[in-house]
Amino acid sequence: MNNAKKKNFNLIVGGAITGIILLMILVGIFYTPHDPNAMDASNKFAGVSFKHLMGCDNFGRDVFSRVLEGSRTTFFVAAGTVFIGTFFGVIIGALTGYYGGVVDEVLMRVIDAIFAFPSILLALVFISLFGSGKYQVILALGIAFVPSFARIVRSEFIKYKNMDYVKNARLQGASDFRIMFVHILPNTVTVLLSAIMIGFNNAVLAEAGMSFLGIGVQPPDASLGRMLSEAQAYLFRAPAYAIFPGVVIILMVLGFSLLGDGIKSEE
Amino acid sequence: MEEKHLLEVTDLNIEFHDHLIPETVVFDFDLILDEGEIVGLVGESGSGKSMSALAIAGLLSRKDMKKRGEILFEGKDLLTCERSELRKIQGNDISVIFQEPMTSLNPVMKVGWQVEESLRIHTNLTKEERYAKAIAMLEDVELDNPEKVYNQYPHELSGGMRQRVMIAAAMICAPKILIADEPTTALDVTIQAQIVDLLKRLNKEKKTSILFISHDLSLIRQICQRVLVMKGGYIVESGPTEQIFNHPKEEYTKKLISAIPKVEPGAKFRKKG
Ligand SMILES: Nc1ncnc2c1ncn2[C@@H]1O[C@H](COP(=O)(O)OP(=O)(O)OP(=O)(O)O)[C@@H](O)[C@H]1O
Ligand SMILES: [Mg+2]
Repeated sequence: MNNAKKKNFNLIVGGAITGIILLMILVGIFYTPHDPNAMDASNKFAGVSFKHLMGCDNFGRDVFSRVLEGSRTTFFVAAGTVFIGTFFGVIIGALTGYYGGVVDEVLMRVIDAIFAFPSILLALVFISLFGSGKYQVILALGIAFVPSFARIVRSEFIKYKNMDYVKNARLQGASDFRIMFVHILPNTVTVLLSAIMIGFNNAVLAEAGMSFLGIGVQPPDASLGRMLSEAQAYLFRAPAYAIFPGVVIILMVLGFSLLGDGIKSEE
Repeated sequence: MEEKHLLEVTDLNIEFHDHLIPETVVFDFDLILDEGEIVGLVGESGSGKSMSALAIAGLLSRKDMKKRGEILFEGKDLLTCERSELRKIQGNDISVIFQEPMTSLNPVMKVGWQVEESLRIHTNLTKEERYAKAIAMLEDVELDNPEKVYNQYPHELSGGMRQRVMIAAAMICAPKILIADEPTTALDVTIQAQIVDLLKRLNKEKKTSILFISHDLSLIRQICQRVLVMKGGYIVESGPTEQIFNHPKEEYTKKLISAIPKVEPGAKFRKKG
């Protein structure tokens, strides 16, 4: 009883926080109080006021407007990363888990090789080859994320492939493709969903980290990580500049992990 | 002229290769099944009944297992034909129901979806036609309120209901052969009798031949015209049911028969204590 209440708590609070963030991103697409890239020297490091809800940065740009735009970029990068990771992870995990044998050996060794690199390092190599920017970051992080999804899906498929109802589907004449993606995959949805939530968080942090290091999203595009990195130099003169993007990153991650926990315990 | 049989299995041997030492679990299995017939397969646990049945249904993987012999279905050898050919027969001409109705249904799919699956694979019927067929089939296996059951998930049904759903799913393409691997073992006695009656009725109405596997000889006697008795991977005796029951030749068969609990006439009326 108590436990059930706690699950609901995670789901509700996580959902609320995520909802607010998504709403912010949505509003940011159509409306920002100021042009996020408009510089105004007279407002350099302006403090928090009604005109500038989160103050201004070193170029006199409105931080609130940039946070709106930056969370959109960060969300977009994280969502793209998770999409690539999930898509290829599911395909590879399904094939290796279902067929086993040679297919499994070959694909999983490739996955191990990718997994052996820390994802940031892998992304670094990738960026140095293909240049930096939003789309390169998505691709680089996406590839780095494939192994963890592939492993999760693989172990799920190994668990389900010998179930009676899967045998039954085979006896009804279902093709391997149909068995994998129509009969088995829906059974993995809860596990996959919580993996997606965790992956999303890691992607938000990875994007922030890469942009912070200057190899992620490039100026003048705003991203939360990019803003943090720029704010770092003015930490004492304009603390608000660092605090607000930081808080939004924290909320984004917190919201999704609570949501992930909530979904997992709904099982 | 040689007579044509619906299913003719000759000299089937099944050998496992998934361990270091190959292990043969079925030896020289022979079976003939004609249209409309119900043939029983009895034997103790581990005697190879399920393995033989699964080989006929084409479930045993071709990698880990060596199979010798012939499984001729309408003249086509299921052991050597293309997998795509085999898939066209599975679920369409040959269907299987298992012992465990609890685990034979996919927990995340609605019952109706699962009953329709063979239609989706083997026919081009529209959604509405499939629905109509599924409802008719659910009705045919004597489920009350088929429209409701159609939209339920397996965990909402009792064991007996699930086994009926399994039978509906197996029979929806009107297969020529139904392999029933201990379909009633997991059910309690009254439900058992109902399921057996249902199978008997479907066999009569739809002319579906049934290979009925059980270790319950009294059930076999109720519905089978012929019986095969298996032991340790071999068929030790086979013939018309009554002949086997009245004049068993093998010691093993006699033992199986003597193990049937006898209900003496009048016994149930005897007063207790
Ligand atoms: N993977 C395997 N490798 C080797 N031997 C196996 C394997 N799977 C099953 N067997 C053996 O095959 C034999 C036949 O098993 P089968 O399931 O056909 O028995 P059964 O007659 O259906 O018994 P039951 O009445 O318990 O269902 C058994 O002795 C079993 O140990
Ligand atoms: Mg068995």
